[in-house]
Amino acid sequence: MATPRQSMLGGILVRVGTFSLGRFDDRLKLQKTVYLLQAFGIFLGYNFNWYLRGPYSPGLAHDAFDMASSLNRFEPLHFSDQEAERRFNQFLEFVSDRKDIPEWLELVASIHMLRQMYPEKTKEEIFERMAAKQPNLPNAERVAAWDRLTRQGLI
Amino acid sequence: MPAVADRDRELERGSIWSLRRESLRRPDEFDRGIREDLWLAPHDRKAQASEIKTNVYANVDLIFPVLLRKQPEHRMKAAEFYRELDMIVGMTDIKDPNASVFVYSFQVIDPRNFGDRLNKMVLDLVPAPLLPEITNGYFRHEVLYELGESERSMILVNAIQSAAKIEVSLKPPWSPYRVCVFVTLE
Repeated sequence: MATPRQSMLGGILVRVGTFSLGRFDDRLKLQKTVYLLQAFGIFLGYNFNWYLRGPYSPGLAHDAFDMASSLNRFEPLHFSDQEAERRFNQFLEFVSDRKDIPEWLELVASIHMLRQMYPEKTKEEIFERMAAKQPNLPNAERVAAWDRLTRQGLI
Repeated sequence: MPAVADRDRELERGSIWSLRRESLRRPDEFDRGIREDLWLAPHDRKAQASEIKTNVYANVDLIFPVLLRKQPEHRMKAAEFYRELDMIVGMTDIKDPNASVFVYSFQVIDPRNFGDRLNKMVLDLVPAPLLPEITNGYFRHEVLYELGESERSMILVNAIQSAAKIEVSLKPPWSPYRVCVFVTLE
């Protein structure tokens, strides 16, 4: 039986899209989506560490594997609190056109985390680090991701 | 990797190449996702891995759960309060010193005759040493984190339905200290 947090996670994820755990990119997508959801202030209590591909939560990985067979079968969750529902809709809008692109999710989640970790670093220093991590992405992608995070007031 | 890693915030784990070998020797010590990360990392013998261990949500303005907002008072339905409490309690292993969120306790502050309102059959489920506290409206970690799930649920639902105003002592992710929030139940 799902824990209260797993039920909440499942009910939220079905509103975001379809998730699976079969491939590495699927798991990366799940990790970065939940990281960004929490960055929007919808907090499910997952603690994230920084690993090679950016924010990663072992607790989330554990819950996701626990829920693997029912991941897309939860009833969609609607927040009874209006402010929470409004914020969740802003999150949906933020990820809407890119929610299935693992590289983009990795990019925005990583920029956000690095900015939280190193507020004293400049944008260029953070880009330098991201360029080492995702060398095949053009710098314009990093600039666009930074602007998108800034417009939402996330960094 | 930055030229100089901030040691307070970032732990250098060494070369990816050697970590890969370690993860093969002692797979139980590496989370599955991290093992995958290591195998998908650049195959460059100079590539280094580091781990950032910090509370990245310390500066995030939390909207949900409502109990974790930076506001001293809230109004909500009893069922919502129970759902949020249950979820926050489920977020953390109480024995984990690195956990970012806890509910320490809650105290029913209204009505004053709270103890008289409790269902006597539910009180039979309460371990004897906790009975005086609970009839006085005080619920701490023994009830929140250590009781069996069904007993805990029955006790808390009955208590919350019998309460009008509650003071909750909790540690949200945005504070290193415990904070108190008042909840008026509708």
